Amino acid sequence: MKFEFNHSIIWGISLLISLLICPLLPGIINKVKAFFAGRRGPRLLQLYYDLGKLLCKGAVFSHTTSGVLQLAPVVSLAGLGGCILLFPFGCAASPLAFTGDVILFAYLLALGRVLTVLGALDTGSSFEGMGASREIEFSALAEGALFTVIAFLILITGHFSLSDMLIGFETNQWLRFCAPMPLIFGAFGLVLLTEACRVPVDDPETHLELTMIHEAMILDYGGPDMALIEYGAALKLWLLSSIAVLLVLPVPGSSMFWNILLYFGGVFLMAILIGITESVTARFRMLKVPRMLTGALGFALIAILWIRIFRGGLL
Amino acid sequence: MVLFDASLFLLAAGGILALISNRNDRIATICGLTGGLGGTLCGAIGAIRAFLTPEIRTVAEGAVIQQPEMMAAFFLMPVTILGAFAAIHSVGYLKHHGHGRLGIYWFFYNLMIASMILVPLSATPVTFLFCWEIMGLTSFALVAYEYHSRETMKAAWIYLLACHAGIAFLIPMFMIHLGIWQTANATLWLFLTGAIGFGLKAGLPGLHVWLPEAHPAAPAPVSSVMSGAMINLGIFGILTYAVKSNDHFLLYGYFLLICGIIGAFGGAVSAYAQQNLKRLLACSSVENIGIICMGLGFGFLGFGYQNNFMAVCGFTGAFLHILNHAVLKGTLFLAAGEVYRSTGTLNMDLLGGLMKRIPGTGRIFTLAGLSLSGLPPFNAFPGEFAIYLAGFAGLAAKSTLLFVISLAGILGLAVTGGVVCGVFAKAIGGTFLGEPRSSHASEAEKTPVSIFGAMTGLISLAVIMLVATPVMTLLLRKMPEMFLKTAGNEIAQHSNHLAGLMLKLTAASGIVLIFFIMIWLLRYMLLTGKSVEKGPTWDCGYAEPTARMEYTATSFARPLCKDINLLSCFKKHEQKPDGLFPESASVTVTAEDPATAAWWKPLFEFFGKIAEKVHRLQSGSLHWYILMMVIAVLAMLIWGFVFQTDKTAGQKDHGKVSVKKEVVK
Repeated sequence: MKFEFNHSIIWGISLLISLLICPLLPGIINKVKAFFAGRRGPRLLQLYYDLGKLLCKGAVFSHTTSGVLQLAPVVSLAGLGGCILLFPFGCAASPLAFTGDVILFAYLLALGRVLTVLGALDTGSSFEGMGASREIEFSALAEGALFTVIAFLILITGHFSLSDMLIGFETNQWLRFCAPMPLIFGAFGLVLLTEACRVPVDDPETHLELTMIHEAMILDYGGPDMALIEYGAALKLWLLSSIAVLLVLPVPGSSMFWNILLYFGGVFLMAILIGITESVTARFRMLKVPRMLTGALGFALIAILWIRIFRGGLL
Repeated sequence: MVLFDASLFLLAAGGILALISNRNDRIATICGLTGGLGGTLCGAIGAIRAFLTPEIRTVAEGAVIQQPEMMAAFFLMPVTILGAFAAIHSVGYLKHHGHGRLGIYWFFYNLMIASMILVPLSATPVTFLFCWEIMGLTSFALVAYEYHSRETMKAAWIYLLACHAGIAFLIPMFMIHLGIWQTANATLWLFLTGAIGFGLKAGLPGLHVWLPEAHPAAPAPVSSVMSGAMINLGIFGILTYAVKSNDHFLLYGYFLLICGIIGAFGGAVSAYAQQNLKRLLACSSVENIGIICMGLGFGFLGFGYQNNFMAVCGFTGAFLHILNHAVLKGTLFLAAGEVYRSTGTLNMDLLGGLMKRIPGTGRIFTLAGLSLSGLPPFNAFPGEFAIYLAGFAGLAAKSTLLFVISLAGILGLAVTGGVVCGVFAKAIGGTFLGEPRSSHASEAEKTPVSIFGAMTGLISLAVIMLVATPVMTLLLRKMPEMFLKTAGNEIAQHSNHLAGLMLKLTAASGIVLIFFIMIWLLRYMLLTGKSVEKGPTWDCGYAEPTARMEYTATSFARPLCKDINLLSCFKKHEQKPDGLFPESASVTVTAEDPATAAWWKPLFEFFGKIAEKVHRLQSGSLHWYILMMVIAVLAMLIWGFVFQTDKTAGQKDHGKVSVKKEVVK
């Protein structure tokens, strides 16, 4: 993809807007869930208020901890910072994209995850150990599905960089390859729900620590650290939803205005979709999640073989 | 060459002087350390010079050792550099155990390093085999250093058997190599015998029996050298002797890639299941050798399918990973040794909380562990990145077989990456974080300067290597060319491209570091002036959780091990609570090595049965022995008679027939 000044400006502006409005996503999801449950639910901007409150607070650290606990949220967020620089915000290729940056992207997400796990183990709490153990279990299995999705994108676009992969195929090409798209979308959707700790895998609002995964790992945080974690989770959800959107969107069109509109509209639609999913399904038993992730891997593999054997789509 | 002569001389002199002064610990240590350090430093300088300027190379006629070519020099670097740091570490490590035997230790240590330097320098197969054997024997002596323990001796015997099984394959390999033994399909047999013979040293999957046994048993500096440098020499052997011709790239590629995928995934999963810290690291070596083999496999496949970009990425990734793994695994073993020295145990379920008691070791282990997990701002990532790129290039290829194997490679690498994150989270969390789970851990001793110095030196080297990755990629560009007869312009071009990508990766690491500093400063500013208190861990309403309530390393690893139970190698032994007033209940989960269970155990039991039957011949009765001698002499007479007439008849009439018959025999 050629470097274009216009594109970079669009990218930069979309990046800033995304950074600002990403805490809206959990709000939207909660609103949708509340709608389904017939409640009014928390405010749409609730996370902003939470973040503001947390940033003004002090902190309490356990005697047991040794500094890894305090390091973890900072490293996680720094890793996400690396991720956002590679991401094609607003359907404009990132000016910093390079061949193979998709690997860097996936592994920076993994960095944040591992540090969170270490932070949890640092407290010596049995519940946090449990959460950490589950996080590693599910993410290791999700990694396979994620990379198969990436392999699928490489196969149909021929590009190795995240930007070119997600926005590099035109409408014609998209139509040609769209038949296995639902499978890939399904596979990535399951990865998304796992990585973002959403309902069929993990319930962010459960009241029982025994059944938590991500929330169990951050039991011992408070104050600014908690704010960093909450913001990081929202940003990660935004990034993953954006990937899901760009995966199915036949972009880019010629008009940048439409691109941006589609991108942001798509992300919000994705949030509503997640909300609906959370409303209509219950959390799986822990033992069922590995099977679900293997299923995701299966979907992605079928899609990739479909493309390889039939080259098939509608055109 | 002078440097290598000096290096070998210093090592030998240091070792022998140490052996002579065995009675006095201090003099033995001084002799051994001086010789070891001097020797390895000379060797390191020589290796680096030979690597940078491979043109200056003189081969004397009839010499047994020679100036190393580029490949040999490359593999000499980890040997010499790790050898030096491990020697420094040995001083502190052996201070408390090993009185009166320090001279012996230093003698064998220096001899082992010397033989490891000699292996790549050998000019003839006989020299090579000789040095290879010395390397095996000296390291056997070091593995058996704590000989009074039954466990150690068992491990040492397994190691010795593995070494000799390797030699049994290497001798036929060299016979094919030299043309003494002529067969059809010589290349195939050369490669297979070589891959098995060297694979036994390198720890290819299925042949890795000795790694999880010998590494935990050996003193930490020795396991560090063995894991970081010696197993690489197996890869060196495959690349130098077993890989020969120009046109069998597909065979090499598919073999190494499949081995690599199995080794990487299997190694990672079995590492995750281990309870012993050093055994975990040993299994992780199997995994890393797997990743290296995957890189090499992609490289050969790239040549085979004329996809030079793939070849360059694969080879560069493999070679980068060899260097990074050497430094990082060396550091990790040294740190694990320090854990053992200060606490007296390596069982992770008894450790914990060491980050506060031996903070330097804890930090270094954490850094090295995260690096070896292949996480981005750290070391091992660039190598894995290049291997992924090679896999991606293979995906886009026309050949269906290549597509399938590339997809399998990418999948294998991805899932392995996920599991390895767990492996090191377990190792770091179980050993260094949380509360100490036993008195071993709560009464850990302080780290001596020599140990801390050695570990710091190695980890600083890792940081330098991270920054220098683009330069290293450029320097490595000549290595893939060695497998091709013709040096192509295209390869250099692809290398430059890859080096550019590495530069971007380094820049990305820098950016992540800057983000980290910025967020840390922001956090610091937000917390200044606010109350920052200390309290107990919040354990869901139950304040002051005890160490017994902590998640142990084993329970941490259990769910994933249950999901991926390869060949059902994880066995659960439980004693359930029984009756109205249950007294004792226990659960233990053991991880048995699938290769050991599948064929090594049956194989050795079979040999054991044969040996028992043969043993009956040794009845102690003189008459019986005399009868046997008579039978043997008779048999030899008959055999010689038949053989002799056959041969002379053949030679007289038509020479060709006799040659053919010999081959058949």
